[in-house]
This record gives sequence, structure tokens and C-alpha cells, in this order.
Amino acid sequence: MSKPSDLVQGTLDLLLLKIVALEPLHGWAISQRLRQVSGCILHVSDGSLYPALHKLEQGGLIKADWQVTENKRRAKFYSLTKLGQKRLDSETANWERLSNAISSVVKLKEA
Amino acid sequence: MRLASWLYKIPLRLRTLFRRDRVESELESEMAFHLEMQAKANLERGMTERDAWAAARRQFGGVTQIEEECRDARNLGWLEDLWMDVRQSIRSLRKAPGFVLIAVVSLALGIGANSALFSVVDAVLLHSMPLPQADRLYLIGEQKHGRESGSNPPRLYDYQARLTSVQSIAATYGETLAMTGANGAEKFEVRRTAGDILAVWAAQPILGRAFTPAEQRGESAQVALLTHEAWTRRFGARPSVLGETLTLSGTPFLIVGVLPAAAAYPADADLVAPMPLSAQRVNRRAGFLTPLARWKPGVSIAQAQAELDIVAAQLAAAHPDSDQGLSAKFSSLQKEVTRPAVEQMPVLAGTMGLILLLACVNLAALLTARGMRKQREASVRVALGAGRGRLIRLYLTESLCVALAGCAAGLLLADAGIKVLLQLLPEDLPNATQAHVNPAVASFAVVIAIVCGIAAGIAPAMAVSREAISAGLKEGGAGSSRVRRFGMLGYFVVGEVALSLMLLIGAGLLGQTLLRLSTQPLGFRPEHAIAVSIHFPWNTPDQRLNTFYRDVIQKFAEIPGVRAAGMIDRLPLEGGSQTPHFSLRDVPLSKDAATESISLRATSPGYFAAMGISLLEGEGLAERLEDGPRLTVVNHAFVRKYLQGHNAVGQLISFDQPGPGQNIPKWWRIAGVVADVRQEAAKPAPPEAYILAEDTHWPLATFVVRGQADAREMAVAAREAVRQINPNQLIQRIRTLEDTVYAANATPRLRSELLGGFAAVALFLAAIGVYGILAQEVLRRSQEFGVRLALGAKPSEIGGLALRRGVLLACGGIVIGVAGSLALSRYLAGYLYGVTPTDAPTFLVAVAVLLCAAIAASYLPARRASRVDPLIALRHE
Repeated sequence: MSKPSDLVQGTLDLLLLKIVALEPLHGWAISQRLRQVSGCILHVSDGSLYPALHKLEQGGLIKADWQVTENKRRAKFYSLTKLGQKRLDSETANWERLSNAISSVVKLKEA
Repeated sequence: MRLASWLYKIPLRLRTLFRRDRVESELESEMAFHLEMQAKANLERGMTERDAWAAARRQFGGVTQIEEECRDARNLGWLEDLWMDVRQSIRSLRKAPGFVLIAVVSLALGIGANSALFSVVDAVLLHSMPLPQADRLYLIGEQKHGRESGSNPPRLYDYQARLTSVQSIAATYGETLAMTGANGAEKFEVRRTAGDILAVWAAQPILGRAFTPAEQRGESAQVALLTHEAWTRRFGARPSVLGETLTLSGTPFLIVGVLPAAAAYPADADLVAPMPLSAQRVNRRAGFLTPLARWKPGVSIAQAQAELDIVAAQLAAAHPDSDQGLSAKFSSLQKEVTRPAVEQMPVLAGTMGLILLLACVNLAALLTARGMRKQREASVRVALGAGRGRLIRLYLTESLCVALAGCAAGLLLADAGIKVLLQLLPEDLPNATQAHVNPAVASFAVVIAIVCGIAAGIAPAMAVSREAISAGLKEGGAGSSRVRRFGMLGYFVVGEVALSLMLLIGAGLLGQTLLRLSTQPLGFRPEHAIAVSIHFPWNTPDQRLNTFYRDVIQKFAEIPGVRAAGMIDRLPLEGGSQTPHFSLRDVPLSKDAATESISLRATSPGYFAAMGISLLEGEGLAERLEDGPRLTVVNHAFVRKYLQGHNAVGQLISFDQPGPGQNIPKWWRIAGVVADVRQEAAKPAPPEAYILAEDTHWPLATFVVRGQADAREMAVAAREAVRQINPNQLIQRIRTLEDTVYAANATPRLRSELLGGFAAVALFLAAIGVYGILAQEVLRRSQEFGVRLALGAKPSEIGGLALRRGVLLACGGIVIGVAGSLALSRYLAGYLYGVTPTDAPTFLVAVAVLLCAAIAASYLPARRASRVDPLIALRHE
């Protein structure tokens, strides 16, 4: 199993939702974008990327349709659904609360 | 939110489920696309083509593994498993068409019969009342001194004024009037009303206006509302009909409006018109109405009844001469209307339930037999890792598939079943024609199919899975636990046979009841006679009635081939009579007899001859001479009960109500005694007295014409005779006396035909069950039979083995069935006449029929058993 050991469980979903929220992307582009924006810190193996995408699709959070890329190739593009948008909002809020809490704890130690 | 998310997810899941190959190919191309992009990126970084691809594959990881994980991510859980189970069940059922056919046919019969009954119940009992808020409609049943009596308009208006729990109250009676036109008289059914009938029906005219209060009380010229049916049928739904005048039997009616289709109860009328003033202002002693009240919303039965009790007591006190002893009771209109149907329900529903039970038992037996045969397969599944739950689910799915197929076939049968039921049920059931297979009926059928599928499938599924797990892959398991299986199958067949025997016995007893009822002497001769009923408006003067009666009888007697003609107010077996108290001048009555009433019948002198009623003593009735004595004839039951030991002829009898301070009663002289005539087919004749019609007033008459001519010719001649006397006179109906007898036995006939039909179906089902089980078993034991044959057993011995087994099981069922019938005989006794519920010949015949059916059902499997080819059978070892 290729679990993203360096990612907090459940965070991958949040990242994927956020990425496809900006624009519809295909799997490859999603993996590239992930690497780009996190400055290669968050490395998600392709082996865990696709199952995660399919799970989100099955759950109705993202939807997929086949479109043609700029290179005239047909590819499966993922985009956010209404349901996904709602989930993204709540997950983002959760994440902010969690990270605030953690960072304050961490700062406490430093002080 | 939750619902919306499901709305979105369900199509996706279904797609995953049913478009599996599409989803797979998409997955594949998605992976391929990723690899291609990766390779392209590698190329751009300066790798050679080959290296770029190799690196891409390395970076991506195992494609198959990722694909598998994607599939897992899409896993549908139970839904997918269910779909797999269903597909697997259908695949395996297709290999056993015989089993499926037998199971589906028996279930279709059970579910079809029950769906048909449910359709009728749905239409008649649940949707019979088209009026809005029909649950607030209540009839007022009046009694005086504890005896049923009718109400009248003055009392109706008293209720209206005094009952605060009632929103509006009205009453109606039906009247048949004639419209004379170019083609002779045409019948118009008029519903005469007192009170605000439209408020009670909660209906507004769709055209024109309602009655004004003065019109409701009959204080203005006669006005009428057309029913929707009459408006469309007779007037072509012409709006200009408003304001036209319709002259019926001499009375002009101004049409002021048209009722909506749903309004009107009873729904038999063409016209609704207020009662004329003469009927509205009758004496308070009269009793010809049943008031119908619409309660105010939120009134409870206790509240309303308590108030009605008080009002009845007030009225009794206020009008001692007419309303003394008055009591009144509310009863729900819906309940009263559906009572005839409800009374049939226990027998019907009981039988239908039994049929369904038989079908379930059949299915369970067949599934068990099938499960036994599939034991090896089950063991293989266990060996490959299937748990017991999974096995049970698989077998349950199979039985549910069969049940649902049976349900579909049953619904196809249900329409035919409804037609049969409607022919069997009493004709006047409200709304019965609306019975058809609708979504409610279909859902009902699906629910019972699912219940049947689970109920019939669960025990075999448990048993088979248990065996499969314990037996494992042991070879020869087919023979080792035979004794136990024998027992289990035995129970099923025994139960089936027992149930169908009970139905057969019940049908036999009811059939005998019908036979006794239709062949017993009735006291008159029904053959070679017709009856012609004529109704007159209630206000017809006595003189006109009497002249008309005399003229008609004379004309009828002149018809060629007619030997006798007479009339009576109401024909025997058709119900109803006047029931006055009576007193005898010279014979003291016992205390009980003084409060009893007898049936009083108004006849013409020729009635006894026309009916073929024999005179036992004295003379019949004759035309009364001027100032001659009033004469009466009593029946034998009267003499037996009240004049035992006296000479009946010459006694003086009075039919007046004995009251305080009353004048000297009118006396009638008993001129003769006639034989008893049954008024109800299943009851001995009550004490009766016949008087001349001219001595009473009763505007309904039935003329009896006896002759050797063909009944149809006599009917035509009778119609012509009436037309000659008065071209505008309507004839209510003409039938033969034999028809009357036939109609009188309608209910027992219905019961015996229904039960007979179901017994036939049940017998058929039981036979299918016996056949199915034996056939499956012969198949299962074919190795054993093959070995036996190879070792020298005669084919007839092997065949006999199977046959004996069928008979043996049937015998077990017969013992239980007979015991069950004896136990239930108490409940059947009330429906029987002239036969005891433990009638030995009936039991014997039923048992014989059942044995024959069992033998017939065992014959085919037995023959197959005797023809097992040892070589083929042994090859499986």
C-alpha cells in the first residue's frame, strides 16, 4: 500500500479539493500542481493520488468529464461539485482551527 | 443536503454498477494518459524515448495495483454484492426452468388471488364513499320501544333544530317517476329530499343553484337538480337545460341546477328534488326515512350520541302520542354502506390467506429440494471462503427473485381474478366497478411477494448453509442424511395437503348447503310463473290503486296460456313485510305473543292459485262484497303457534296497535289456512296473515302470472297488457319466480362457489407441490435407484417406491386436514344449512379426491424413477 505517510490522514482530500476548486484539471496536472505549490514538500505518490481522486468522485465531491487537452489528447478532467465546495469550506475551516491550535501550542513551547 | 447528496450519488453508483466495462476502460485510459504525460516530461528533460517511458513506469508504480486501488475506492459494498447475487441467482435459475415454472405458477396463483381481493377491498371498503369528509356522515337509526322504526320529516326538522353537534341533516327516499314521450314511458329515478341535502353531501351545483330553504321544505313549486350522470346521458350535458321544465308522472319539475359527478348518495338517481309538501307534513307516526347527518368537525361519537339521547327523550316527552319510547342512535354511513362487503370478508380473506400460505409452502418445499441438490455447489462455495451469511444471502436472493417473478405473473392474473370476484360478489357493492390493479395494489403485491420470498426462503437457506458448512466437500453427502431431509420435506407436503383438504371439505359442505337450499320445498311452485313488479307514487289515491290492481289482474288472466294471476305487496324471498301487532278476540294470547308481531301481506284473491300455495283449511280470499265481513287467511305457522287446539277458521283477529283509550278494533274473520311459504330460504316460515290489498294502502305491487306459455312470451304479453291499461305506467321489473329463488340463494351460492374455486386452486397447488418435491427427489436419488436397478430391482418396484411415498405423505396430510376440519367445524356451522359440519360423506369424498390428486401428482416422478438408466445414474459416482 502506498499511503502518504508524510501527510496527515484526510489532509490529502483537502488538498485535492482545493486544487480542483481553482480550475478543472486532469490527474497528471493535479500531481504536478501539488508538487509545485507545496514546493516539493508534500510529495504525493501517483499510487495514492488516483485512488483518492476516485474516492472523491464516488462520494460526489468532485466530478469528472472527458475533455481534450491543449495537446489534442482526451483526458479525464476533475472539477469541484457543489457538495465538494461545501466540504472544502468546512474542511478548510477545520484545518484553520487545527493549525491555529497547533501553532499556538508550538509557540507556547518556544516562549 | 443529505438527500441532495444521494440524488447526486445514486446515478454515479448505478453507472459504476451497470456500466462496468465503460468505467474499466476509462480507468485504463486515465492511467495511460498519466504515463504518457510523465514520459513526455521525461523526454523534455532530455531522456531517450525508451528511457523516458521506462522512467515513467518506474515513477508511476504498478499500474495494475493502482487500478485495483481505484476500484476499491469505488466499491459499492452491499449494493454491488446484491447485484452480483441477483445476477448469479438469475443465471442459476435459468438452468432450472422446471423448478422456476412450478414455483412461479403457484406463487402467481397465490399473489394474483390476493391482489384481486385487495383491489376489490381497496375500491369497495377504502374508497367507496365519493362524498368529501365522509367520516363525518352519520345515519340516525330510530327505534320505538326497542323496535326498529323509520323517521319522518317533522322529526328530521326537530333534530336539525336541536342537535348542536350536527352541521346539517337531511333524509331521502327514492321514487320512480315516468316521463311520457313519443316512445312511451321513460323511467326517471328521483331522490326526494327533506332538509339541506347539499350541505350534508358537501356538494355545490356545478351549474345553476342549490335549493332555497323554502324549496327544501317543499313550500314552493317543484324544483329539481339533475345528477351529473343524467345530465350527460339524457341531456347531452347541455347547459341550456337550466330553466327547462320536466314533467314526470304528471308533476312539473323546474330544473334549477346540475350536481357534480362525485355528489349524491345513494348514487342511483337521475334527479334530486325536495319532497312534496304532503310528504313533508306527514303525521309524526309515519316512519319512512333514515336521517343522514353531517357532524361539525371535531365532534366525538360519545358527545354526539349523548346529545342525541337527550333530544330523543325530549321529543318522546313532547309528543307522547307519536314519539313515545323513541330512541335514536348514530351509525357511521361508511360502515353501513360497506357492511355487505365486510360481512363477506372473513370467508374471502381467510381463503385467500390460505391460498397464499399454500403457495409459500410450495415455494419453501421446492427451494428445500433444490437446495439439497445444490449442496455440493454450496460446499464448494464454503471451501472457497464464503461465510454462512453470504450463503444464506445468496439463497434468499434466489427465493426473492422467484417470488418477484411470481408477483409479476400474479399481477397479470389479478385482473382476471377481479372479474371473477366481481361476478361472485353481491351486485350492489359500492364502487366495485372501480376495482382494478393500481399502484397501491401493485405495491401490496410486491410487499407480499417479498414477505413470501423471505418467509419461504429463510428456512431452506439456513438448513442448506448449515449442511454445507458441516458437510464440507465430503463425497456421497447426497445419501447420508436422507432420513432427516425426508422429515423436513414431509412436513411441507403434509401441511399443504392438510390445508387443501380443509378447503375441499369446506367447499363440499357449502356446496351441499346450496343444494339443500335450492331443492327444498319453499311452499310455492317457482316453475312456470313470472312476477311483474309495479310501483306507484306514494300519494296515489286508494281508489285508483285498487282499480288498477283489479284491471291488471284481469288483463293478465286473459293472456293466452295463463292459468292464474294474482298480486301481493312483496314477493316471498325478496324481503320486507308489514309487521303489526295483533290480537285475537276469542283466544287469549300468552304474554310473549302479545308483544310479538306477525307478517301481514296484502294480496288479491287469485294470489294463492298463481303462486301454487296450497289451501289447508277453509277458503281462500275472495272479492269482498259490499258490507261483507273483512276476511283474512293465515298460514300454518300462525295456527301452530297461536291457535293450537282451536278451530282456526272463523276466529276474529285484529291488526291494530293496541293502545290506551283506543276505539274498538277492526276485526278480520279468518277464512282459511294456507301452507307455509318461506320468506327467507334458510329459515322456516314466520306466522303470517294475508288480507286483501284494498283493506290496506301499499303502492308497491308484484303480480304473479302462472301459465304454460314460455316465460318470455308471458313477459311480453304482460308488458303489453299494462300498456293497454295505462300507456304511461312504468313496470319496475319482470322476472321468473325461478329467478327469485335463484337470487335468494345468492349468498350461499357465492360462498360455495368461492370456496369451491379456492379449493380447486389449492388442490392444484398441493398437487404441484407433491409433484415438484417428488420430482426433485427422484432426481436426487437417481444414483440410488440406478444402483438398485443395476442390482436387480424391478422398475415397477422403484416406481412404486416413489408412488408410495407420495401417497404416504398425502395420508399424513389427510389426517391433519380432517382433524383441522373437525376443529374448525364450529366456525363453519353458521354458514351451513341442512348438513352438519362433520358430514361423513363430504369428508370421504374430499379425502378420495385428494388421494386421487396425490396419486396423479406422484405418477410422473414415479415413472421417471422406474426409468432411471443405471449406466447414466452411476456415471455420476
